[in-house]
Amino acid sequence: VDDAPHGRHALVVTVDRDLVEAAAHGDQTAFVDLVRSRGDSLFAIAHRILRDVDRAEDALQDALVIAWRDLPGLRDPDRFDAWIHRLLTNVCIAQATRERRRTAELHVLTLDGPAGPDEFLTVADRDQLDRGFRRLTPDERAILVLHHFVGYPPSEIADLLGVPAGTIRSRLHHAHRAMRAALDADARVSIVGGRSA
Amino acid sequence: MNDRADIDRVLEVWLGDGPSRMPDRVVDVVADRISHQRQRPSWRYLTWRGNHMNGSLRIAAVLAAVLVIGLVGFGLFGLRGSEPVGAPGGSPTTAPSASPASSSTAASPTFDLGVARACDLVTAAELATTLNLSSTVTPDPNISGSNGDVNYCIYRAAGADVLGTSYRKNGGGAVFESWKSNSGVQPVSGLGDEAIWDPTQATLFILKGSSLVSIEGGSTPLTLEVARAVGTIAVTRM
Repeated sequence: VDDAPHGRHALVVTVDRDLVEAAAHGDQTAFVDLVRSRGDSLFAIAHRILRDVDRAEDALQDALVIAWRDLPGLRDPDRFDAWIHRLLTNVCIAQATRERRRTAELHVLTLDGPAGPDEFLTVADRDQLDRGFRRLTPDERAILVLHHFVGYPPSEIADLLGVPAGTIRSRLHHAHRAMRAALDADARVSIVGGRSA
Repeated sequence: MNDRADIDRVLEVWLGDGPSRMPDRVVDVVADRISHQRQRPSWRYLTWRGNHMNGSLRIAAVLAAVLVIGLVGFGLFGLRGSEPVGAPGGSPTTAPSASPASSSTAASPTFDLGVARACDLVTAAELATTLNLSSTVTPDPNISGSNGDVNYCIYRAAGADVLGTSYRKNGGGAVFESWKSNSGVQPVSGLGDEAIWDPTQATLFILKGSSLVSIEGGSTPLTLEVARAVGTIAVTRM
């Protein structure tokens, strides 16, 4: 696993220091402005980790309220995005962990929606990826999303989550292997069983 | 799909699909929720700066800080000898140490520097008794105000913050007046020269001479009754 960033760095938008500082000093309007400017990207991250619109919305709301409460503790406004990504990721991991305990293993899974316009992946591919993803631990899911969707390199994810970089690389490697296995399994089924995409 | 580049591409495409717009109601819900949520004061945190110091760096930083404080203290001792140094504006009869036995020897370099530690106002044992806590209370004194004029202490028990105090040894009058002007503030009798309770912040402020102490809750807000009990102890050492 290399340290090169992947994914969409556009999710990390320019920090408005004035808004962050005002919000840190109790300005609720400034905080709501921050929510408006960051909400879409934060919601997208939460959805990718949790794979569920309602749970992503709940996680986002909780993370934002925690962010409001704890914002005075953020000393460097330029780190606002990394800081709030960390909060959101932790909330999502906690929620995914609770959900995982409740449902143990999901045997019947539904697709999240129709395949996107990109035909690079078939519907079956997406289904298998979804299955593989849900089998990952919440930590691994979050790391995969932070790396491939947000675009953080492993070293930055390590800083973000307070985990050694080696651990992040190891989990990322495991997650990659699991996701690749999910697709390979599908390929085997397609060949042996004649399943069509 | 065995190629590394393939799985990268697959995951980026797959994760790229899906909703990317926050439902509009989130803004309203969050706006409503934060209007009922008090922000924690910044000193409650040892701050997250985005970069985590590793263990050895942290130890090195602590050792360096101790060394600097020691050198400064030694330097001032050398200049001042054993001459007692009273805090400007403070009462000459005030015993600044939490330990009365040590005050006669003027042994505490912290106090000789004119800086009083908030953690010395109430001991961990006293707090545990006052709050009726069965778990061990640990005071964390390693929190300083941004310009060094105020000292903070956070008391923790069972992994949670249970109480926070701040101690401004000098110049507390102006700060006290500022808090006093807040709406809804109630006077509290029998503590120091003057005391107020700010129900919005759930914080007790005690002014004695030019020294100001604030007492507030940790993870859960404090009641005036508990704050007053803690303040009664603290005020004897201000």
